[in-house]
Amino acid sequence: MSIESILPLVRKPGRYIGNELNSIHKNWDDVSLHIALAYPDLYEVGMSNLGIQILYDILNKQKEVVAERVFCPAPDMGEKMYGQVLNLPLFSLESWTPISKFDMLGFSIGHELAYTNIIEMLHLSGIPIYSKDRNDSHPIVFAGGPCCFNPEPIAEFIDFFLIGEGEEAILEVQSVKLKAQNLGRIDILKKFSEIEGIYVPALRNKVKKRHVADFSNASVPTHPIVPFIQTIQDRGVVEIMRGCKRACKFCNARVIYGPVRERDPQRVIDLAQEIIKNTGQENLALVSLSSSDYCDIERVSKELAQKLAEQKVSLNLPSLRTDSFGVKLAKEISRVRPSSLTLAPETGNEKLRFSIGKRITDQEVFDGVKAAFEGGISAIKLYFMIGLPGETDEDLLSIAELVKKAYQIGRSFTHRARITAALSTFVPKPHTAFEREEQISIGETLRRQKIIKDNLHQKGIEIRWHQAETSFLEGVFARGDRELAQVIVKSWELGAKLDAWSEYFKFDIWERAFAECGIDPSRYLRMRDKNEELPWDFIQLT
Amino acid sequence: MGLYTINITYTKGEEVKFISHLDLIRVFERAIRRANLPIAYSQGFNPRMKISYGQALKVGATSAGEEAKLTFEEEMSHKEVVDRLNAVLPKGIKLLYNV
Repeated sequence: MSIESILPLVRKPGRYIGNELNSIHKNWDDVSLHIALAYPDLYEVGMSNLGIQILYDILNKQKEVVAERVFCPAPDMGEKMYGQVLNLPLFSLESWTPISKFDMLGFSIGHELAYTNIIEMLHLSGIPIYSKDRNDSHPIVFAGGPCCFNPEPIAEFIDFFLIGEGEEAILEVQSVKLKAQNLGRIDILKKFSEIEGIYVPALRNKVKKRHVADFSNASVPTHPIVPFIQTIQDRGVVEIMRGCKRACKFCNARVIYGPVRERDPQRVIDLAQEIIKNTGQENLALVSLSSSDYCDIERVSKELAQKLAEQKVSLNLPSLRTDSFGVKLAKEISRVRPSSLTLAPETGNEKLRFSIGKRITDQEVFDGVKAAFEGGISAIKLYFMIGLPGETDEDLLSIAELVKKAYQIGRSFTHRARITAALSTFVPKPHTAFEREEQISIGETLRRQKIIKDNLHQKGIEIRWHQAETSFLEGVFARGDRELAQVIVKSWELGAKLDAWSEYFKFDIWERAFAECGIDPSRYLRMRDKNEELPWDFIQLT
Repeated sequence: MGLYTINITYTKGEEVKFISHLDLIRVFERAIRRANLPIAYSQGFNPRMKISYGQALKVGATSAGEEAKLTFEEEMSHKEVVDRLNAVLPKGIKLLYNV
């Protein structure tokens, strides 16, 4: 059976066909290095990832290299491939070449719940799951992305990691590989380990996080691929800044994407227009971790919004600060009136908010809410975290109070006011001020969620929450070690995949896998003593 | 302001036969923006390009002659519309010179 004959039988065949505008097709035999770029989730998630587009562009600009894409097949497709895995191995989108034929396979890993998808993709490719079982006939498997700042849980599956930014490092990797095509596996890995930012688990080398010094002029894909099917973030994107000037203690993004570097305002405006010209996208987003802190945000966004409006393209600033300045700016640049707006007070009161490093007063939160309703927005989403260090039941009650007050503000403007309170569970992340803190258990998460729910029965207010089991797993793997590799493989064997999708996530599989491996997962949630060695200590940040 | 309509005929080839009708609409809208054609928009809060399509083709089927009607704010020749769109459309979709 061929790929062609399976496609009519699966949902959304557009995920697998390639040929999108701006995708690059090179003749296989015209180049000497073939790299498959993978995102271990469905097409519509992977194609929303900027990192993949950046590396795809940089690698394909090299004459001797081709980069093609591959994503995790949806279960209906995967099942059809399993049935005949020898006949139909996982293939690249561009040339439908089996992944095992590539010289290298690189995963961009965005979150911990994608780990079983890596196993699924290796298996469907016919590539041994464990690094130690591969030989010179197999592709070299590498990985990068935010999850690699604690690579240990997946270290046995990956031949080398790129810790930090890839724009420059990937060029060094391809150049080393091109010069050493005939070198054996371990010898080439030794050569890779000499590149700054590269960690080879088999060598257990120390590594320094990589970052691009001249971010303003760093390579930007001006001809990004335009998907046929609707993706999660279906829009043109220009990064305006990397790093974050804030110092929230719970957040690892500041560390991962630091230091703070801004892109020249004129270059931002030029890039945005060029991307629209080359893609025809109807939306463009200026992205960063905190766009209110960008040097020239007001002028750049207003000027750009005006230019893009001529082509009926709308501009989005997804990460504005939630004060009245941010809310007003978001409203001003928006071509169509936004119907809802998201603010992230994180806590119910400013005492706890300040203690986690988020320096926004309650008054500023309410000013943001007021500005939004004043501007004609009728629905507001408020994000909160529960389980923060030092959090008491009074703090939880204060979340309910804050939400009620926000609703009252809304009601003074419109009878249609609606508030959605979204509760996530705090997961301590490596390389943050809270990396040694305790994470609350599943039971405690449910108890704390209930306190808020019990105190927020009100028309016009909706509560949503992260599934406690999902946050639990995320927490286990975020601070996990090499012991966990067997659990990932075992869960996958028992049928776990696409764990980030609630319709596919099955917690009982994971419970069984932990039990069969004899590992008590709750020990990964515990508080770490200040002298205890951490699995990610070998990564030097600056 | 006058409005001018142009009827087009296009092919849907092997490369894009698994693209749904809804996806195809986005393909045309983005191609029109890339070609910078003076397309007309509907009124209202969320203006849409004025394009009307013939009956949706089944996913998986190719076609040598699908039809659509584009409305412009300026007078355009059929040939110019075809030239400018064909220059920017993805592989597998092609406008024909004869309607």
